[in-house]
Amino acid sequence: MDKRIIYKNTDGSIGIIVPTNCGLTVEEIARKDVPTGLSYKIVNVSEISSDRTFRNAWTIDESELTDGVGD
Amino acid sequence: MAYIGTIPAEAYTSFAVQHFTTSATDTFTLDFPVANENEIALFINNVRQEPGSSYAYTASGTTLTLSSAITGSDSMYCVFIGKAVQTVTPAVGSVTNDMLASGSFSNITGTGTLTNFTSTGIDDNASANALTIDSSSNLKFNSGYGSVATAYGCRAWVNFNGTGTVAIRGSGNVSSITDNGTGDYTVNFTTNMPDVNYFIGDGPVPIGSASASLQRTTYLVGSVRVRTRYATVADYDWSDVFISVFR
Repeated sequence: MDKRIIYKNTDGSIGIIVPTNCGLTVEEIARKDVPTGLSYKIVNVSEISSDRTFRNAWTIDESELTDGVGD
Repeated sequence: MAYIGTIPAEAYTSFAVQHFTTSATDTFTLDFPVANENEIALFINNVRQEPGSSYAYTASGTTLTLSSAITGSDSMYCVFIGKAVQTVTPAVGSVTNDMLASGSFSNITGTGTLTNFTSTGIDDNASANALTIDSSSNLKFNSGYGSVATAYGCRAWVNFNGTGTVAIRGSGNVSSITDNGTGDYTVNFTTNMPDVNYFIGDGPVPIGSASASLQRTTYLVGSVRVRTRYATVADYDWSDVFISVFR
């Protein structure tokens, strides 16, 4: 899939979910695989940096995570 | 003998007979429905009666009506002339595939042996037992093992690139992987494992002389979190990460 699902963990780290073509929609995968209660945003893969040099320092504004909440 | 139309299948027929429990009445119930009284031969005290409304009896449906009541000491029976009970017994070896209804094999039960069995998806050429599903639903096969034994399947697998834009090359029973950070991933299962006592195999493929390792950190029925490492101490993004789950 050319989509990615972004969410922010309670410790501030950023989780980026890479969905597979498993038969579920990206929305279904987001609700299933995002930790319970955390908000997420579905974005195009092109919006994710390919430079992982400082991957653990990535951050995101929680107000942008508006597409749903993990089950 | 020549026929006009379809030649009937070989058949053996017998006529149904009904013996009545008599009483002082003129109305009885037939075992089988009839169109009219001419379809039965009625005997009272072994004397055949004449059918018809002006004669001894009438019949319609399952109702038999006598022109006058009999007594409990009379005997009465009828032969169903128009109701022939037919039993067709195909000759041995005469049933062909075209005579079987679609899906009729679903009704085959019991035990037996099919030799040289072939279907659209199965071609059995084994000369001895090679595949078994036992009473506990365990699938057992030989396939070079040396004997027929329970097969323990790979319940999930994924092959992904952990560098640059993390991407999955192929997977099975994996709905997604979560990139938690450098060398830190969660493999999320499409269908959960029955418990957390599964086995994780494989890991990152070393590049050159580098030492790569895979550390499992969190086992859950719906996912497993792993860390790919360089020289066992530092989280590291590897380009070829293979993970398989056996249970």
